[in-house]
Amino acid sequence: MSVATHDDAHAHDHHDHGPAKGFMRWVTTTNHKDIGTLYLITGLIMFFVGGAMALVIRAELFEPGLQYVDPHFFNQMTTLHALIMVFGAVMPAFAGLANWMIPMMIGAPDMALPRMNNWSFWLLPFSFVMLASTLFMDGGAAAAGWTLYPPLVLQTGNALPFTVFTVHMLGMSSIMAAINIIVTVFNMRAPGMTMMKLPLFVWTWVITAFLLIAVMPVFAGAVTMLLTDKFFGTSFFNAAGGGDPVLYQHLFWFFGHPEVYILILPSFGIISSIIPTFSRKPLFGYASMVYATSAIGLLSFIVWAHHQYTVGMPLAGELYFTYATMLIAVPTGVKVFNWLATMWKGAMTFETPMLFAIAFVVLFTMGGFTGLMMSISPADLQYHDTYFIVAHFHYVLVPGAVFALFAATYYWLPKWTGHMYDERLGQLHFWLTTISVNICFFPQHFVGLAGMPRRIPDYAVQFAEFNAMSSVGAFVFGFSQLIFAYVIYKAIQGGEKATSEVWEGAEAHGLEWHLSSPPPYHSWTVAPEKEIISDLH
Amino acid sequence: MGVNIMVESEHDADKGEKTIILRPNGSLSRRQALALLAFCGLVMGAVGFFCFLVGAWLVLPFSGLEWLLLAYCLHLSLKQSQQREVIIITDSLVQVEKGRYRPEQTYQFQRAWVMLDWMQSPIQGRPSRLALKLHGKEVEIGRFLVESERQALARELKVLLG
Repeated sequence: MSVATHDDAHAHDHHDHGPAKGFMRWVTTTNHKDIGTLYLITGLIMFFVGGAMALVIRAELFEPGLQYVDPHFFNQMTTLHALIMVFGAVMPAFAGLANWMIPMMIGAPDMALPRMNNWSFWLLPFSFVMLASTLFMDGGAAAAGWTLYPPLVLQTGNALPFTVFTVHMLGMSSIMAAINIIVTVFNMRAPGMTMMKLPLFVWTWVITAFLLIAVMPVFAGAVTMLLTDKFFGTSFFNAAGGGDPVLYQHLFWFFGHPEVYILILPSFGIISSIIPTFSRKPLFGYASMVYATSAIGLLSFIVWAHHQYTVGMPLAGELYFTYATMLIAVPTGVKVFNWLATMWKGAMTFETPMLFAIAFVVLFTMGGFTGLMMSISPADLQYHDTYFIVAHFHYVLVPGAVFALFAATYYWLPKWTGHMYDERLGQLHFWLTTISVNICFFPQHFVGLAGMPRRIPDYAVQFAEFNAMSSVGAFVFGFSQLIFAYVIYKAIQGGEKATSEVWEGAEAHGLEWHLSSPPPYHSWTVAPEKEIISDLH
Repeated sequence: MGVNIMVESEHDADKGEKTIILRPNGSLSRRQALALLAFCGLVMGAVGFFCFLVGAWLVLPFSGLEWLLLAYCLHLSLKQSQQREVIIITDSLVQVEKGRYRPEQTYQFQRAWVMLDWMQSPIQGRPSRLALKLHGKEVEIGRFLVESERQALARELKVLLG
């Protein structure tokens, strides 16, 4: 027997190939980074489409009276703005981050089911084109709000079946992405990467994926029942036929409330990655963060009817949902205190990702507090269907989910592109965004408390000043996002080379910082050594 | 969670036979996968059944379909991690068996003449390649191992085949 040891570049060609060239690369790709990029770009495009709809709404509300659009079109805008921002912008962006980061963070070469990954992305563009096309159909797009409550939504013209089919396609896409994430994280972790070693971003996505697979069938079933009520003569939600329209509300919110957490839990994971890096400390209370996230996920299933206090429910039900909702403040508080404790006495620096992370903590907490106010059922009778609600959920979703997405993009962009982004423009984007988001949404608390209802194109003159402020804020916010798009474009084009670590001391916080910037096309062709994993914070 | 020993060696002194079993990393065992499926089935079934009880029976088929998809995806992923490579070294032969639940491919080499070929990649961070070859016949082994384990395997084989 003999032993031959030698170097051979050609023998590795099958491991070493890069991406295919041209348009078909993106159509047929099964690479997690390519698919992550596709998701992120789609999310950004839909963010601008949904944002343009928001500007139509705010232009109309700049002053009392009807100026630019008729009330029916206004209602179509509120409906599509919400559907596009939730399902088209925020969810795909988080799925993009999951695709890019989870394999790199757990030491896996790719997602567990790459072909299904491709399919789950490519369902999205067709869904959105179909949803947008409903604007041009007879009777216009759905105009009943993103909740699609019957009987109002059943008055939609030809658009109803297309809207329902869009929801089904988006649901399929989300379910496939969720299953892929669960299988990847459970079966493809590198040796030594135990569950309690997983980065918080991965943990929050696993819990999000479980929420998705638990509640998506309920939404799919509910919208299918809308369809059968409209076209097949059933009476699930038709009181005249023995059905109950309130049943739809229960079904929708059994899905809808966990959906809110689906939008926010990955944000918690992002913030839990960024704050330790820029505080130069390990995350305070890692285990308690994992348990708190799990508790939030669990509680999200048992609080849905706090969205429907005014629909009429027994006193015992109102009491139960009030207390159960308040309970969510406990694990959420654990998270906020842990982030503060991580920053406490840390050697903090304030690059753009950290600025967005700190703004997230402050502004999301404000949104959380107004949520606590609304959890009290007698008080909610005053807030319900007013602009106070609009202010609350925009504080949770814009400085919450969207700021986390901005923070994540600035944090990982040098890793993805291999170039540092323009810090000066990043800071400009941060300050314009943070100031304008407050000018836009803070006054909405006041008009809401004073009684201005949501989803109307006209209002009493007493609300004029606050609405004008809100519209100015919205337009500044909207146009500030062009800076964000330019920063991304500029970093892709070139700039200062990023090191593999990118941020000082980042290697201790995650496996992704042990790969080059940009990482190789196939991430961990050689699994990371156990020593590297055991040294992680 | 998960078993992470990817190279197991057994020595049968009576037969004078050494067996090395290689398997890819899979952080989920079959038992754990079944527990995961049962948990998801319980939650999704409970939600679907509750909806059925309140009259929204159309939720139930969606829950069922989704659970089946989850089960199929877990099955596919686990199937990948069921790959095995068994290297049996006797006084006269070196036998490599590859397969999932049973040997699907078998390669035999004369122990006295077999060559151990270990190629380092010129690119840092790329896996090395370990193969047994003889008279133009070659079989790659341990492609799914971590680099340090492939190096340890190469050293062990070098000693055994000495």
